[in-house]
Parts: sequence; C-alpha cells; structure tokens
Amino acid sequence: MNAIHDPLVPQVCVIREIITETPDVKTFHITAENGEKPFDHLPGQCAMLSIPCEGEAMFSITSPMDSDRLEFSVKRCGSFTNRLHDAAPGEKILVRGPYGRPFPVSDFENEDLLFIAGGIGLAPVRSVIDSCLDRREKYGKIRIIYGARSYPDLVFKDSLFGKWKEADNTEVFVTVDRGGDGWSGHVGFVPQYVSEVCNDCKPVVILCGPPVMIKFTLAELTKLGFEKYRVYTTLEMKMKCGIGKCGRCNIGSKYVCRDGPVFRLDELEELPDEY
Amino acid sequence: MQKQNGTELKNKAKQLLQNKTVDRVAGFCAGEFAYDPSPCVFYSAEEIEENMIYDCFCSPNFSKFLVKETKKPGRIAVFMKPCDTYSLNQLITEHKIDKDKIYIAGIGCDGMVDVFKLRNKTGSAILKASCDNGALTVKTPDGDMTFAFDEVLAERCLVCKSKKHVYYDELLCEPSFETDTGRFDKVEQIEKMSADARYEFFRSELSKCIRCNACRDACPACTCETCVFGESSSGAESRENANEFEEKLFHIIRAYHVAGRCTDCGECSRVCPQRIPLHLLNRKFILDINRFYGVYQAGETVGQIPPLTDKNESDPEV
Amino acid sequence: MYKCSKESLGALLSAINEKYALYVPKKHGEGSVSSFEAYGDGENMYLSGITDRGIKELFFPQCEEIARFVTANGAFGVKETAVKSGYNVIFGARACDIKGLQTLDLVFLAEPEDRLYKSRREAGIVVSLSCGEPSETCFCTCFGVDPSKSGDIAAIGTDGAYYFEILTEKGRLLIPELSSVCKTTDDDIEAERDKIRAKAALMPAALAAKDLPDKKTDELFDLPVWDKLSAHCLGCGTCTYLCPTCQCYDIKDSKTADGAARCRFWDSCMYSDFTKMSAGQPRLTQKERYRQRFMHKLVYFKENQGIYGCVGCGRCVRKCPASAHMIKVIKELGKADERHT
Repeated sequence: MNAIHDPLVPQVCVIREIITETPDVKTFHITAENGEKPFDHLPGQCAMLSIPCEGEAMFSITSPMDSDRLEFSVKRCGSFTNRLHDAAPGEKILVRGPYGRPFPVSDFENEDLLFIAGGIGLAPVRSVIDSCLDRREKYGKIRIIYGARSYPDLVFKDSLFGKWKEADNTEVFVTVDRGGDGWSGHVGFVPQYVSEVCNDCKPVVILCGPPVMIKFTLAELTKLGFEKYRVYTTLEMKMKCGIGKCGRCNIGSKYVCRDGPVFRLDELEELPDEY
Repeated sequence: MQKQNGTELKNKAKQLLQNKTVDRVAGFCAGEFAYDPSPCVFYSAEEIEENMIYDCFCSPNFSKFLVKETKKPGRIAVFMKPCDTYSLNQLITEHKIDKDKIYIAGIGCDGMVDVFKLRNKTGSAILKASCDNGALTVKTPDGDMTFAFDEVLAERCLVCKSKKHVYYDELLCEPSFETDTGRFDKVEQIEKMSADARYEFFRSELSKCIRCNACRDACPACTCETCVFGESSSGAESRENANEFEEKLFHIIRAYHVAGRCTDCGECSRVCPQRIPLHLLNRKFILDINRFYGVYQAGETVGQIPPLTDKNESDPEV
Repeated sequence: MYKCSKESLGALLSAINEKYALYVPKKHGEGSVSSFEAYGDGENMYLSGITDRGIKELFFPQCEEIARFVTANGAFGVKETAVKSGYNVIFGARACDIKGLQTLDLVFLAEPEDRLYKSRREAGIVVSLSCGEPSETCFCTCFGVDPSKSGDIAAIGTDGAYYFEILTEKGRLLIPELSSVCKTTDDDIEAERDKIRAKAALMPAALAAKDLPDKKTDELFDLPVWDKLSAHCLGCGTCTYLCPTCQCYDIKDSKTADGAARCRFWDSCMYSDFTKMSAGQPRLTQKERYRQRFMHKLVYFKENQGIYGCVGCGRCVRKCPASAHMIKVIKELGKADERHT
C-alpha cells in the first residue's frame, strides 16, 4: 500500500456495521482496514465518503470524538446515498477527512447546553452530545430538543429514550410534527417547543436541522433573548474538495467546508443571503 | 441590401413605445468597445436615445433570447436581421415563443464582422471601428486601416443563406429575396475526402473543444429546460475532455439533436472560443436532408413539419 | 542581463529545448486560436500578442488524474498518481498570465497544499516576454501588473534584440543556455520598459477599469444592477475556462480496465448544476451564478487573500458571447460607489 499524501486521495476503509435508524436513514460504522479509527476528529467535523465510480459526498461524523470508529448517519436522498444504503457490512468504502471547523466544545465547558435538532440534523449534534456526556462533569445542565416528521422518522431512538434520557442532569424533549404510528408524546414543531422548554434559561445553543426549521428556531431564540454569539449552527452546501479549493461551497467569502460547517449566529448574519 | 442606421432604429423603437404597440424593445446597446454591442431590453425613450445602436458588429441572434423574454408579461418589440427570423419561426413552430407577445421589425443586413478575423488583420488594438459603403475602417495605435467587407465578414455572412425576412410584423428595409449559394461548398469538399482524412479533420477540430458549452447555450435549437450534458444525475454529464470519445460524442449528439431543426444560423461557430467550425456538422445534416427529402430550410415558415419527424411513402427509407 | 539578436532566438530556444521540455505560444494559421504548445520544430510560434489560451493549463490542466483505485482478486487498493520530476520551461508568457499563477498559488499552495499543482509550479521555469502589443481589452496595469517584466526570467524584445533578465533563483538554471547564445550586457533597457508600461496603461480597457471597486460584500451583494449585468449571460463556461485565475474544479471517477481512475477537472460557477445538491440549490438563477463569479474576483478573493482575483488579461472581455464582461461589471460597481457616497 502506498502512503497517501494528497488531501484529495481517500484511504480504503471498511463498513463494519450498518444500523437502520428510520425507513430512509442508516448509520454506517466505519474503520480502517486494520480495524483502527481512520483519523481523529472533533464534534461537528465532516468526512468525504466515496465508492469508485458511484460518487463522493460529504457527511458529518455522528460518533463522539473518543469513539474508536467513525459513524455516519446517512439519509437516502440522491444517487450516491441510494448506493450507500445498498451497501452491506464488510464492504470497502473510501474515506478522507476530517474536514471543517468543529463545534468549540472546550468553550462550552461549565455552560448549560441546549441541543436543538430536526430530522437528520441530529447526526452532527449527536457527536457533540456524546462527546460532552463522555466528560459529563465538565458541563452544566444538558437539554436536548429533537423533532422529526413522525415517530418512525426519529433517528437514534436508543440514545433518545435510553442513554441520553438516563444521563445525569440531562433532559430530552422529543416532538413529532404528526402524531400516530404508536407515538404518545409531544406533537408540534420544534421552534414552538423551544419556547415551551426554555423560556427562562439562557444556555449555549447547538442547533441543526432543515433550513426552514433553523430559520424559525433562530427567530424564536432571538425573541427569547438568546445572545447571538452563544448560538451555533451548521450549514450545508455542495462540496467536492473539502479543503477550500474547488470553489463551490462559498457563501460570500466564507467556504463552508473550511470556515464552517459550524457557524455562530453572529457570523451567520454577516454572510450574504445565499444559502 | 439597404441597412438601417442606429438613428432609424431609435426612432422606430421610441415610436413603438409611444404608441403602446409594445411595452419594451429589444435591441443592441453600445458596448465598451467599438465591436461588442450586447443584447439589451429598453423600457424608455431615454434609454433608447442614450444606448441603442445598430452597426456591422450586431451579430448575436435574438431569437433564443425571446424564449425567456416572452415568458414575462407584456409585448416586446425586436429588431431582427433576416437570418434571425428563421430561428424565430422555428421556435414559434416548436411552441417556445408566443407570437402574440412579440412585435418583429425586420431590418436590413450587409453581413456582420467577425472580430477574431479582424483582430488577425489588425494585429493591434482596435480603438475605433466604423463601417461604410462596404468597407470597415479601424483606428489602431499604429494608424488607421481599411478593409473590404469581404475580408472581415463572418463565414456565415459570406455564404448568407438568405436576405429574406421570413417573419415580421413590419419591414423597415426593402424586401429582399437575394440568397447566396456556396453554403455547402466546404461540406462537399469534406465529403470528397477519404474516410481517414475526414475522420482526422473532425478529430483535430473537435479535440480543441474545452467543453465550455457556449455552442449549446447560444444555439436557438437547444432549448431543453435541462440538458442531458449538464445534469449530473443523467449519467451523461461530463465537462472534462479527458477522453476524446466524450468530446466527439457531445458535438455529434448535439448535431443529431438539432438535425432538421437547425436553421444554419451559425451561432455555434460564432461563440466558440476555440474557433471550431461546428456549423459544418449541422450543414452536413442539412445537405443530407436536402438530398434525401428534397430541399428543406428549417424555419422558412411557421408550422412546417421537418422531414425527420414526418413520414411519407416517398421517403428513401420506406 | 543577457542579449541576443532577434535572429538568434531560435538557437536559444533550441538549446533550451534540448535539455528541458519547452512550451511556447503557437498559432496554426489565421483561423486558429493561439495557445501554449511543445516547442517541437519551432514552427508557428506566435509572439506578437496575448494568446487566446493562457499558461494556466500547463500548471492546472483541464483534466488530470489524481488517483487510481485497483480492484483485483477481492483486494482493493488506492494508488496516488505519481508526480513527474524535472524542470520544464515556458517561454513567452505574458505578465498577466504570470500574475494569474501567483493568484492561483494563494489558493493551491495554501495548507493543505495541492500536490499536483505544487509539483508543476516547482518544475516550471517561466520566461516572460514583454507585452509590446497590448489589446484594447487589456487592463493588467489596473492590477499592478508590469507588462514589461515578470516571471523567473524577463525577456524583452526591442527593435533588433532580445534582452533577458534573470529575476529568480530558478531562473538561474537557464544560465548555461543563455550563455551559449547570448552575450552579457549592461545596456539600460528601462526606457524600453517604460514605453511598454505606458502603452498598456493607455489601453481603453485599462482606462475604463481604473477605478476598481474597493467595497465589502454587503455593499455590493444586493445591488439591483446585477439583474441588468447578468440579463444576457448565456451561462456558458467560456469566461471561467479562459480565465487565468479561475480554479474551480470537480472530481469524478471513470472506469479503467482494473478499477477506476479519479480525475479532477475544470468546473465552472456559471453552470447551473455547480452548486445543485439533492437537498437544494442555493444559486437558483443565472443572476446568482454571474454575481458569484464577479463578486469572487472583485470582493471575496480580496477579503480572503488581500488581492483582486482578476489580472486584467481581457480574455473574458474578448470572448464572452454576450459581452457581459468584467469591464462592464467594474464600471457598474464603480457607479454603485457614487450612489453610496
């Protein structure tokens, strides 16, 4: 095997495990061929997955920073993600990374944290939550608000209703847009739920989800008086290189692959409206 | 052919706005240099007075641009050269342009200058240029130069297919029926080549392609909402010319796709930054259609049925 | 400084060509476009103006392989494409194109370095040729380019001679070849250079573009004039593919006999699918794409790198099929300046 020096050239890895989260989301556990973690990462960072001649795309790393493998939760929505969903454990996959500016988890120490996620947006957030729970003593109260279209669309159910719920000083609030399918919990949209849960506290916010949810949640947070420099979110753009050179993921002078994907709300507001 | 000057066009444009025949006028605005007028839409007499021109550099074919323009509300007046009207007819036939939303004023044309050719001749910066009485005078830092029109005209104009307007609401010039021949000479020359020489000719020309897609984007017959060559999910998308086959495929498929609909307007060759004579592929199809199905000029009338989509008992393939 | 007669240029280039791969500007007849090609027999050299295609593609080719994936007997390997070693020489480059390389350096040589570009850049000895025949579309002087002097070695043509001034360490590699054909000289050629600089600065494009926009993103992004400027843009990639500083690329695999080859190739922000994802499209119409290209050159690049991302070569000005070019943008954004103050 030749040594890889080119940041554009991926390494061969292996899909070890595939977990079906929802009808259209699967989580892939990946290690290098020797069984080790392909590279270290920080919460919020991404990596490029590819299969020769089938495509290459950027996904956020779902697993916590101390994990011994890389996990990616992938929603089926295009040709490459379709191909990934057809993969089986043991299959080879090409990986390169890590890319992007992570969530500044060390800045979050001693703070109360509010995680807000919608749909597949819980994928990058899960890495932060688990990284913080792995160092539980360093953080204050943790609240997690998560919403999806319906009960079957909730990802990471084991964590939502198990590990996270049972963790120290941690509260989990789950809501769905549409009840039924065996769901007996809260029904409603995430932005409204945020004001119900958090009208008298001002934790650091980590927010991720579909653009429309982000838009309304940010408006809600602003209304509730959250300070912009304490609200973090992530952006998504088409990417090819991952290292700020191929020229397509910029919003104004910022490259989402290099300067993001994590942006603070005050930084976000300085970008031109093109995302 | 008598050709209108900028002042005549301005007056007509202002009149069409004033008497409410149309609510906007498409024409050429003065460019930054002597030779780069660009298509513009004028909404007021003031804009027209300030910017509208018409000279021997007004090459672009306005017809394709009307596809988008006629989707907007209101009616638009357009000044059209004879050859532009063939493309327009074809687009009306294909229901890409709504006749009720356009007002076409036919204008005369003596042929348009090919700036690349002109640049070759001057070998120096072109500071000013003006055309008069069949000659082009250019001011350069090294002095003035004058060229006969034939020396600097675009190829498509040297073998102009027709000076007849095939669609108009009003004709600003005398009607003309003058057509030139010689349009197929180069195609016939290529046909006479050996198969190997012919292959080599097209290989060397098409291998210059940088896949900028300007030919496709300028072509009035290329009006697909999404092009198979520009859509990554199509499986045929490719921009690189890594492999020769790909690039030949692109131009040949394009030529097939527009066969029978191509009016031989020559925009493909005009816009090619690599000077590939792309029109030759289209002309070969036109010549073949003429031979197999009788002389056919796409865009000659609205509603005509192209031989390639028509079938009757006299067709050679029946 | 070295000096040779105009007639000796062929001998010098042949001497260089014996030792190095040599690229020179060529034009095959009046109908063809000019570009840089292997020196070969030295026929069809084109030295009297800027070439239709620049030197960018010698450093950043339109398509290049970056890796191979080999699948054999159930094994699956990745092999990086090897870089070529050894120097090559580019003769006759214009200063604007060399400034283009320096602009690309800021992107490709920033961490993490682009391996393939870097190897070509290190291998390329660039000999500039003074630009005594500027086109009306030239505005390099607006970007601080010196059309008379650039590269590793600066060549200047006067009435009867060529002078060569070595400007970098790498340029010194050609001393043996220069010495074999040229004499050393103390001639003062600054006056010749001044003439060239003055001529370029008076080109119509240079005069039109002299007031470059010095504004921030939020001052220019939402200007209504983008609608007008982009109205007739065809959405083709001509401007981007001919631009000395456009560096956008795509990466794609193709099948090979024993696996796949991963290539990167030029892409264009003017294309509708450039930013299109399964999940959405942030630049929906040609206006957004057009604005992206010019904002990148005139604003974003400057915000990130401190210099404009345009070098004033004028290729986009000459070749845009719709004349929706840089000079018009600079002038309109300049007017925006007046509106703001």
